[in-house]
Amino acid sequence: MWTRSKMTLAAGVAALAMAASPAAFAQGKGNGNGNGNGKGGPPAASAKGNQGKGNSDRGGGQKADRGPSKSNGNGNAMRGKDRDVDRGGPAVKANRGNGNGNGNGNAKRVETDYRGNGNGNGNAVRGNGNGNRDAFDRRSNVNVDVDYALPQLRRTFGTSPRVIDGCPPGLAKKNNGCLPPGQAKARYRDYDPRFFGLTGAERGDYYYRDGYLLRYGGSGLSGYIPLLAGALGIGDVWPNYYQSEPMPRYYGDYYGLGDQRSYRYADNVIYRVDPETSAIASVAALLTGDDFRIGQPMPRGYDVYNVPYSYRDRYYDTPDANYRYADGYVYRVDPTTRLIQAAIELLV
Amino acid sequence: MQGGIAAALALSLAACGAETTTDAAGNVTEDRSGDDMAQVFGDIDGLSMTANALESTGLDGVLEGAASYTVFAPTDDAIGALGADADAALNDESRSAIVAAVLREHMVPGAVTLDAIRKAITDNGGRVTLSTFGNGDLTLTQSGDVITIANGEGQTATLSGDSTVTGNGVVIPIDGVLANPQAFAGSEPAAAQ
Repeated sequence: MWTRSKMTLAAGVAALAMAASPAAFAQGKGNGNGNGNGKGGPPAASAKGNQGKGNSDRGGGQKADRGPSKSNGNGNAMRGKDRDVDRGGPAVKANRGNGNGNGNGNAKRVETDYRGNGNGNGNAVRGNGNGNRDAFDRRSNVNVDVDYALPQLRRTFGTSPRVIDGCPPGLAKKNNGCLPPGQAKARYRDYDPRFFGLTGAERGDYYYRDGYLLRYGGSGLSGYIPLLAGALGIGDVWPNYYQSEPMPRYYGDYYGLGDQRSYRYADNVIYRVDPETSAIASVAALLTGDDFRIGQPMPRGYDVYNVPYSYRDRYYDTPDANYRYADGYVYRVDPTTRLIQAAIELLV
Repeated sequence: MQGGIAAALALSLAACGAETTTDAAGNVTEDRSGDDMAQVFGDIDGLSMTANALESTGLDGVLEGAASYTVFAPTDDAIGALGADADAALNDESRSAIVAAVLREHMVPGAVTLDAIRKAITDNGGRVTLSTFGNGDLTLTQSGDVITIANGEGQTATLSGDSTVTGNGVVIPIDGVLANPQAFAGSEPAAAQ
C-alpha cells in the first residue's frame, strides 16, 4: 500500500494560470457563525491567542476536531496556527472574507484542522454544504483536486529538473569550459542526476563540473542544471534563466520567506536571496519531493512518527489516526488504509 | 510509561545543564529543545566534520528555521575512514554540490527520535523506511539493542553515540557514511577509461 513517488519540483519553468483555483470554488456561501470557546493550545501558542471566533460556518458549533480528543481551544484565534489547508490562488483569496471568523467556499475543499480547536470550530467540509464539490469527505474517503501548497508548487514549478540550453555562463568564461564531448568528458565525472536529488531528469549522460550538472546528448553538450551548493551556492547571484515565480502563500508563511523578491526556488530547495542583488544568502528549506496527495496512499518512507516537537501534544498517533510530517505539513493518515486524510498547516 | 525501556530510563543533568535521558539500550539523548539545530550542531563532540560540511554547503541554513529536520550525522571517524577522495571533496569548494548531495541523503523530514524508531521497527515487523531529502530512502533495522541504518546502495552504519533533541529537529550520530565512496569522486567517465 505504501508507495514511493519522488519528484523534483523544478525551478520556474511554467507558471500556469491554473495555480489560481477556479473562481467557482471560491464562491463560498458559508458564514462564520461558529464561536470558539476553547482554550488556547500549547503555551507558546496561547500567548498569542485571543478570544477568537471559530470557523464553523453553517455547521456552527459542530465539533470539528479530528485530532486527538484531548485537544481543545480554538483555531485562528491563535494567530492562525493550523489553518485550513486550502488557500487557493488569488481569486480564491479574494473571497476569503474575514478569514478567521468567516467560513467561506474555498475552505470547504478540504478538511480544516485548527491547532487547539475542538469547541465551536466548524469543520470546513462538514460544516458547510456549499461549494465543496471537490472536497475531501473523510467518511467516504473521496477526494478530488485538493489544492494545498504542495500541488500548487508542482503546478507552478513543474515536477522535473529543468535543463538549461547551452553552456553554463560560468564555465563559458573559462578556457575550454564547455569542450566538445570527447575532450570534455575526460575532465568530468559522470553522475546520475538522482544523486543530486534531481528525479525525473531527461535521459542523457550527465557530468559534474564546477557546481553544474552538464548534460550531453547525441550531438554533444545539450544543457546544464545548476546545483545546490554549486552554482547555486551562498553568495552566487541567482541565475536569470530561472524564473522567479511566487511560492504558494503557505510556504512563504511557514518558512518565513518574506517578500517574493527575497527568495527563489529550484529543485526542491528554497533559497533566500538579497532582494536587491539576487545573491543567494542562505538555504531556507529543503523539500522531499515526495508525492503527497490527499485521499491517496502515504508515500513510502514515513514509517516513523516524526511530528515536530511543538506539535506533538496535538498530533500523536492513535488507533484511528497516524500523523506524519513532511514539507511543512502534518498529514493525517488512516492507519489501516494508509490513505492521507488531511494536510494540516503549521504556522508558528 | 511502562515496560523495560521506560523502567530503565534515567534522568541526569549533563555538565552543560541540558537534561539527558538514557534508555535501556544505553543510548543517551540530550535535550536541547530550547535551541535550534544550527546552534547545537557545533557543540556535539565527534561531529565536527559533518557540522563543517553543513556550514560549507549552506545547508546549515535550514537548521535554523521553523521546519524540523533529523540528521543522521556521520561521526568524524566515519568520514575520516572514507579516505582521501572524501577528504578532498570536503575541502574542495568546486565539489560542494557533491558534498551537499551526500548530506541530503542523511537528512529526513521532521523530528525522528530513537524511541520512535524503536517503536516503529517493532510495529512494522522489524524494518522501517525513511524518506530523505536526497534521492534514496534509509532503511532501519534492529538487532538486540543495535539499530542499523542502510541506504539501499550497500552502505550501512549503526546509530551510535548520544542523540540530541533540539527545538527544530534531532541529531543522531552514525558510525558510517551512507553514500557510495565513489559518489564523492563520481564514476570515471567512459572517455577517460
